[in-house]
Amino acid sequence: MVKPIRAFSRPRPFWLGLFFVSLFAFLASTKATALEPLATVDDLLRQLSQSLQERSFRGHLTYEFSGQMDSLVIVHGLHNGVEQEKIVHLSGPVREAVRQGRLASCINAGSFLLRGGMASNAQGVAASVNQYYQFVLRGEERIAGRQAAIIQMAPKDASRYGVTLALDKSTGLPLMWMIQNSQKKILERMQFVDIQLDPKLNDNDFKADGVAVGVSKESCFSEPAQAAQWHFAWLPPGFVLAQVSREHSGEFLTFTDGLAVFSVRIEPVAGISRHPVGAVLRGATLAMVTAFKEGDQAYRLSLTGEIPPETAQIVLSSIGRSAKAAP
Amino acid sequence: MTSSDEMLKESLSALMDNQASEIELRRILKQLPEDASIGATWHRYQLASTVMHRGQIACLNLDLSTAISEAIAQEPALSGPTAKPTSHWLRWGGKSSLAASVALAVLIGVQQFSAPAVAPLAVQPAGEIMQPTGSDAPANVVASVPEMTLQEGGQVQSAPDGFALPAPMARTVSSQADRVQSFSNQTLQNLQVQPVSLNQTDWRNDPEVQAQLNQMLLDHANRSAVHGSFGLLPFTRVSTVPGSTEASLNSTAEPAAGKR
Repeated sequence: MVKPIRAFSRPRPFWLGLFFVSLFAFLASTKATALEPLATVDDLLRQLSQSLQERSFRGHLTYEFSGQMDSLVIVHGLHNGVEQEKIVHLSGPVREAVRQGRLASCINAGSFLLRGGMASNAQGVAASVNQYYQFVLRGEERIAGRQAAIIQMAPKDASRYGVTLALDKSTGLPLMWMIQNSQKKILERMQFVDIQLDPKLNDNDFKADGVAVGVSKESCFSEPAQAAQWHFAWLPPGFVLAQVSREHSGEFLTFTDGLAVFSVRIEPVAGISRHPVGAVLRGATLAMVTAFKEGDQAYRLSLTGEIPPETAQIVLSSIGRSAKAAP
Repeated sequence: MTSSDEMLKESLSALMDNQASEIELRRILKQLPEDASIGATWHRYQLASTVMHRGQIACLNLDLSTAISEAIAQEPALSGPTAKPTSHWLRWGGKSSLAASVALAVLIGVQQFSAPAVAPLAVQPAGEIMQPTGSDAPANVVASVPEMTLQEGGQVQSAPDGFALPAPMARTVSSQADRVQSFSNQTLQNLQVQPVSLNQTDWRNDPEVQAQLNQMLLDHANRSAVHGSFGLLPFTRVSTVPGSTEASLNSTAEPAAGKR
């Protein structure tokens, strides 16, 4: 026979009352003290985007992907409101990138979306980062000798990767950046080993060497670019066209959802069979090449970006001529 | 249901947990040849226990016991001369070899049962679903993706140095086919894009392809730096800067590394 459990049914008004009072007091106190320095995710993301553009820092970081590791040095400075930035690989072939002259007030497409901006794309859908990612604060960790808040950005659909960031608690700079696929496999990780805030910088720090690749100075975002010759009938939700440029007789398009970026190049080629089809990964970056024919003209179609291969397949196969462009 | 049935089931349950007494065991063994339902109940209990312990269920719905009993029955009885004191060892050996062959039969049976269920999923080339529907591909387009090379050589074709082949997710395939279908109905100008297989690539380790891929990475990193949210950080992913020769590599290595 089952005996009734009396202990739970016995009323205990005094203890219960005390319990609720203490619980309330505890919640009130944590809200007032412990939670306040821990900003909301939105604040942290805004801070991340701002400080990457406005803070001066110099640091060493590692880049890990599929069992390999690269080391790099990055220098970022702001001089009279103008951004200067340089990143140099310390391992492998010499390569570096330099950017000089972007105004700190210029907000590009990715930063616009990451700071909570809304933009409507070709399909007329409003895009903002938090519509497509679930943000979760995952506590704190110590990275590069500093306290960092861990933010997990889980995608709400399967058409993009998940991102985990560690943001420096006092500056909002990203100290760690990790990309995971839907099976929770880590595809790549960038992590600062050390970072120096507000270092003494001079022009030599940003001088471009022989192998440097100059990055375009400015691309301030106001609204998504208009499709020119080609358009894609399907884009992963939330991605907007940031830039389309005509080159030779082809086109180069770039899309972003605020966190992930992918670029597509369409170029006419002589024959379709000479161009092999395939897809490979380097870290989280996918490089996919295929081809298509329009009448007698063959085109090479290539996509590069941090999106899942399955998403890229659909995007590429949805290509069509823009309505306004006469073929 | 009689009370003796219920008692028997209780004994079976106890036996499952290795808690049956000597008397209960004897009762079960005595009833077994008379009542076929006991075997079925035993089978059900085992299944339930497996499920509860989150084990894998191979729904092998065949009864080996009858065939084994028949085989034992047909086996010639050991004749008189061997029925000496040594026969104890022979009998023991016979029993163990029988047990071994039963174990082998079960092992082979399970393997043959489970193998075909898994294989097609893994071999399915994800590229095939990208085949444009309802129209014939032009003659010079590689219409069908050749089967994955995994089966032929036992290994996947390797990607160019520094790159890996993406592993397709089998689960998304059906939903993805639906998505392809849904937009191909919307667009009128559906161009014949060659399907891309995620399991293999035509790209060997030749310098031309490598250079092409590196250029793609670099162009994309530049675009990411301009339009992304992470400044120049996307540039960490660039493998080489095309056009940088050995000479310039040597001359610039020093200032690049020494200036920090």
